[in-house]
Amino acid sequence: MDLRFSPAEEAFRRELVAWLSVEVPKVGPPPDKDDWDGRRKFDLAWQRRLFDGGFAGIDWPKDVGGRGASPVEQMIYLSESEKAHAPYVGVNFVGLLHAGPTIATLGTTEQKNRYLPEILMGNEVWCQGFSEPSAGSDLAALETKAIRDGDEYVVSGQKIWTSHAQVADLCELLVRTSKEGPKHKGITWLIMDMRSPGIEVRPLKTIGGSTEFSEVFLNEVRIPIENRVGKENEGWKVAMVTFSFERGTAFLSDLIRSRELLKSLVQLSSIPGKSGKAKWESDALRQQVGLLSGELDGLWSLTRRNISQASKDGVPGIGGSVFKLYYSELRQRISDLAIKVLGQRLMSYDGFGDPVATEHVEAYIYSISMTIAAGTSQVQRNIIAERILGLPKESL
Amino acid sequence: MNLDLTHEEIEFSQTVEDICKRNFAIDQLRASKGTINRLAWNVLGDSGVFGLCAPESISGLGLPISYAIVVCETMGRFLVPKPVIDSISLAPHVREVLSGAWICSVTSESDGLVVVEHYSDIDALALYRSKGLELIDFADLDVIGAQIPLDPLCPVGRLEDIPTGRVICKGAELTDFIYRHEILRSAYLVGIASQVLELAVQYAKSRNQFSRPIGSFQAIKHLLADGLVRAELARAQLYVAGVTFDEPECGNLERAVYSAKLLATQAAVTNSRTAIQVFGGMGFTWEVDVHLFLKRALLVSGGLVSSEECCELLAGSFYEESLSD
Ligand SMILES: Cc1cc2nc3c(=O)[nH]c(=O)nc-3n(C[C@H](O)[C@H](O)[C@H](O)COP(=O)(O)OP(=O)(O)OC[C@H]3O[C@@H](n4cnc5c(N)ncnc54)[C@H](O)[C@@H]3O)c2cc1C
Repeated sequence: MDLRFSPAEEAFRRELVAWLSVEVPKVGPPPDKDDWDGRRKFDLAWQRRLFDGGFAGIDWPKDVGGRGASPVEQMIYLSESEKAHAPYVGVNFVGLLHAGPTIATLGTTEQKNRYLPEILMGNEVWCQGFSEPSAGSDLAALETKAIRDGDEYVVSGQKIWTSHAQVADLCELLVRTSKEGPKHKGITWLIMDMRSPGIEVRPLKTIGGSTEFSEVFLNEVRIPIENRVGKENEGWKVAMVTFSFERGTAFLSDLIRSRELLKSLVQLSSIPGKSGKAKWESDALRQQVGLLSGELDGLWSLTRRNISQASKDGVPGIGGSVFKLYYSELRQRISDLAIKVLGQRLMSYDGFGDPVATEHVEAYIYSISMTIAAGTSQVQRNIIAERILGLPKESL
Repeated sequence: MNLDLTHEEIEFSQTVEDICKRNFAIDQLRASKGTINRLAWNVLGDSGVFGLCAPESISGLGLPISYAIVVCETMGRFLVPKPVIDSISLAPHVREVLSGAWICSVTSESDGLVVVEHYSDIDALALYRSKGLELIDFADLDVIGAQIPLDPLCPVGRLEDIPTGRVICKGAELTDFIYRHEILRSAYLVGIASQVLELAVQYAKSRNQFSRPIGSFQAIKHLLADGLVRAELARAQLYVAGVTFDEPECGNLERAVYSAKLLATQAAVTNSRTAIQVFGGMGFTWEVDVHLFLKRALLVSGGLVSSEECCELLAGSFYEESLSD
């Protein structure tokens, strides 16, 4: 066992750090969270910078324009970017972390040539049209139907919780192409142009008050068959590949960010209050911080262990579910601590004029979605129990 | 960067597992009533286990601590008497322990007590004090044995008065000893956490209620899934602590060790509790082994640094990290 980077990895790290130190200061202030045009421009501009600097698609294969780097280098990339306060992946999330890697793995040559460079160069934004009103955790129950008409699919139905739909150019879409046999054997994975006629996007307001996700109504939308990834009725297998990328290293920047949040809480709690006593003097609070910081250490170690296994096996393993489950719940416990530390400042989004408090109020609200999005905690526990521990399926 | 076990480490741990199967099976341990079987102990000694961390210059094996880690994980799985951890960590300082001729137990004063484990089997006691680690000969010990020890396979007593022993390490060497000892305790605890989870999973697959295996109920599944997550988190941190011990420039050794101890303690104690719940009434019986794991987890999680102290130490270092930004 060893924790050192190889000389090549270390060289990569140094090159990246030097590049970030020049490029990050050039980035302007981030747009308001409801300024969607601004957000799209901001996130794509950063992606373009990465592309020009040779840092786009670090772990994508070379033949599709990526850097072909190892999972360890991807880890270095994510952690150094976060340390340098580089912009977050933002609206490029689905393109870079879901759709792109899926097409790179299972797409045809034409599909790779058409879509991948546009993602890497920061020209096109993707969204994920998987969930439906009656198909959430039970995703395979999805009903949006696609009927073959010559060399097109005609698609009708409804998607929901589609993050960033209002600024997306393309959508990775799961549709039903067959009602025969088991439900997961009649699903197909399609690429949908968001400008096609028949698409209506209705933004939904989240509990944070912004419009992160939308309902997407599809009324006889025509999608050419060459936009299909994988075979007809084999879209479930394609989606499994998508998920394995999602639960791989996608949360690594969040983990580093959590450490920053906890540090900031320590700073806040060490400021003496009216009575002259700082909250940090409380044994209970200090021990809570000690424990949380130890758990963050543990998650960082688990990430490194998962990555060292992925380097050996080539695909992100089941370790992703283990990480996601613990991480999302830990993040909420950090937020619970924030409530204690912020006190009344929690009651206003502007922290009554304290920008540090604002950050924690937003983090608190955001953390609530973490045990729901990308597979709920209950579903992760089912996955771990059945696929890792081999416990029998529930008899319904 | 690599956190996988090597072929050699896996092979070594299998050898040790075979020894445990033959010499420390749970029925043998129960029959011994907590007396350490010297013959079995010598078999362990002959395998080189005690010398894993001791330098070659004093006829140890001088291997990376990862070997001792996988060995102690196995020891935890089998509930091998706890002085095995003490022997491996003391061997660099006490020759008689290295050969297996002596059995020693490591303890410290806390809550006004000095508890001595396996007091009728040990040849000497290693007492941790802030100024150094002292070795006290058995003859100088005045132990009052407990009538009923919590862990039935580990007799305990308390020292009536505390004699002064021979300082066997201090200063930087002492810090080194504490880290090594706490890492090996963590390894033993991770072994307990995994083994007890395994017992509960097997039971959940085979026990039927409402005409189906209880393991098909989500309430049970989710308890067990959490157990797996706790054990994996603790193991990952344990391995990182081990690597950092061998190469301190790779990280913050103090943090790595205390995080490992804290997570391993939680995994071992909570997984044992979970297992009892999964076993139902059977879990509350003397006959089913699960309680033995819980009791051993409580014993081993004590050590030179308690969970509370781990939290305080981690909080302190995190405080410095936070304010230096
Ligand atoms: C912020 C955010 C962004 C999202 N972005 C996208 C996106 O871009 N694209 C997309 O397609 N989807 C997206 N989603 C949807 C997300 O994947 C679903 O919300 C999630 O899978 C849960 O589905 P559901 O909301 O229908 O809840 P349900 O499945 O109805 O679950 C409700 C409750 O029942 C529990 N439950 C359900 N089934 C089981 C079971 N078998 N065992 C135990 N408990 C169960 C759940 O754990 C949950 O607590 C997003 C969600 C959020 C919160």
